[in-house]
Amino acid sequence: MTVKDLTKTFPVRKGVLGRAAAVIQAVTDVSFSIFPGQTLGLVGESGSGKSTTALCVTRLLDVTAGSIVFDGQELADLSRRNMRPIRRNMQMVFQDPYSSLDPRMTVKEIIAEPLRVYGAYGGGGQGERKVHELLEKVGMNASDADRFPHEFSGGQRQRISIARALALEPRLLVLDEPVSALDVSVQAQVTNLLRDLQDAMGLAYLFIGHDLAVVHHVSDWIAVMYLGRIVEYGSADQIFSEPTHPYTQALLSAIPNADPTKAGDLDEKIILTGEVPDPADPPSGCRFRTRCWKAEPICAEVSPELVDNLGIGHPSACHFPELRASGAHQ
Amino acid sequence: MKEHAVSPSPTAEQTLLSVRDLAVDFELEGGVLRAVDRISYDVRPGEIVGIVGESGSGKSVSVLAVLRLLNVYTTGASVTGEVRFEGRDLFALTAKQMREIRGKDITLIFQDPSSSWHPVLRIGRQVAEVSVAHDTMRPNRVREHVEGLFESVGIPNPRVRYEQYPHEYSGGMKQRAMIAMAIANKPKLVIADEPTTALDVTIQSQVLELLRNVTADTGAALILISHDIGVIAEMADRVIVMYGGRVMEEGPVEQVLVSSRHPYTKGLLASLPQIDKTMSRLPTIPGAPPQMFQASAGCPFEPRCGLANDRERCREERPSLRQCGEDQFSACHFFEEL
Repeated sequence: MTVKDLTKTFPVRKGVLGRAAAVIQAVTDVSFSIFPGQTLGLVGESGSGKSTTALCVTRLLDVTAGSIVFDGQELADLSRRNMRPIRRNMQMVFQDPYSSLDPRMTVKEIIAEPLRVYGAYGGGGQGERKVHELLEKVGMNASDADRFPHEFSGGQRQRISIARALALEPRLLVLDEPVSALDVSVQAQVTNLLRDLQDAMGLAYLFIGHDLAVVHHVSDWIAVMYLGRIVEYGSADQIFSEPTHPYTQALLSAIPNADPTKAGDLDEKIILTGEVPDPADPPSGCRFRTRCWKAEPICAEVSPELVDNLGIGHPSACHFPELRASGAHQ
Repeated sequence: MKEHAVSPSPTAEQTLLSVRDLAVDFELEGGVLRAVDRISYDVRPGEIVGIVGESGSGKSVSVLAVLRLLNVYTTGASVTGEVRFEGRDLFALTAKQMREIRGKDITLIFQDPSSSWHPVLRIGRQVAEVSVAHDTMRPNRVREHVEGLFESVGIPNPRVRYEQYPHEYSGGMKQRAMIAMAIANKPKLVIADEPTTALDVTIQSQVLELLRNVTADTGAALILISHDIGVIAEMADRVIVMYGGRVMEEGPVEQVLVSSRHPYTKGLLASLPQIDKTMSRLPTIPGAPPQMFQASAGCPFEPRCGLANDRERCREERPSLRQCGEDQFSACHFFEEL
């Protein structure tokens, strides 16, 4: 999948007539590529536009501008009807395994539903065999098929969601915070499962998360988003070892380290001031400038391009990119 | 090595809060659920104690029980054990005496900044209420006092902010106001239950820094409850690791999180992805946290434990907290094998 200059705006309606009073730019000029068998991680705080991006590329939301090419086909302007055959190749797994499974359906019905919708269930026990295979693929038992979601723990429910997403043998899985709602000891089980499935089936993943350590662990590539824009984009290792955008540097510095010997000097932590501005009224120029310790007048005037100014192999949208977060502790 | 029924036993005057054999049972239709299973710990003045555990480990219920905030009539909870705060037996106090301690000497910060405020009262008034209720402030000085508190917790424009309603505050600001309320009466102990879980990571570091500073400035002790080991590692002096309603391990953070002597803590730490290490697979703990209807006679972690290895002692005999290092205690029969 190749996404180019994706933009999504939402009108803000006011008054009884519902006139559009303003527009919120949820996603602005976002471009990235996802390769078969690889994972692109999208990270950012709430309001950064990462979930909106996911909903746009799966066309669960209409796109305002830009292009989404999947398997050589442009999706941005496809009608709902023409989108249907494509959807079987891109499936989603959501954050909350409690609300994303119908409590009145058995596990078998849940996993069989996409097969039935696309007429792929098959008679003569074929569909049933398929459901059992899928359950085993995600590390559950065929005997779980007749039970209901409430009988399972959060981790097992997320396995059921993954089995449902895999039923149509998609090529791309969009995973929106798939382990955020799970207990720490169960998160690792699910991330390992996702990796095994990717290796076995050559799946591409778009992995959305706010836990940077988890995203780093599962991703080959990472795009860091802030207020609807990508601010830095590169291989997972580049982003973590050589971040050049001050926001990425602050984000990495904010991760609490579980090893107290490595937690380091708390005075060395970058603690950003202020909060994410209102997306209906984003700052001019660079959207991060209101919280940035390096901001200069140019940052308010010119929105920085996502380019590799330092020549280190990955782009960053900052007028003053640096390998070290200098000047952050004053 | 000597066996300790309870962990570090500082002398009475060194202890601010002492919890002994605290147990909480909920009577439910399906049977009795033991949420907290005879735990004991101490909090010394001014220290930060982290309680870490997964959902259902009993960490939140245990502090609600300490504060007598579990309503016996609506939840069917029965609480046993002993809790002493500055030597006073909290379970022997009248409701009125308890109210005098709660909100003044011991205060509570909740996780969810959006549901813990009254939506139609101005934030300033809600913060002022704790000072008025405890008579610590002359009424005509309360507003000034609250605005000063706002300033000290980094809420800009205190005069304007005083008049605003909760929906006009962001999540981070609501949590700052909550901290202002928690320190309004110069408490001796602040209990923060997942105070930053609902916040974004850059806001989380702001709020943690603030919590660290205000407790250091006021000399209050802090019990910090979190599922995030990273948060505990950065904030706490000592850590209590809970699982299945029990204390699994306890000790100074730099000992427990670096050289743990309990298979649960060790497994939990290993399953965290490390940003400075690349591994294709993470070590995992098999299975899921327990449903506590059938309280384990032995160790609640036994079914998931690699060290237990089907040994009868782990299934049958409850492990007591034993000293396993300087000031470090582990509730594992076989920690010597680790």
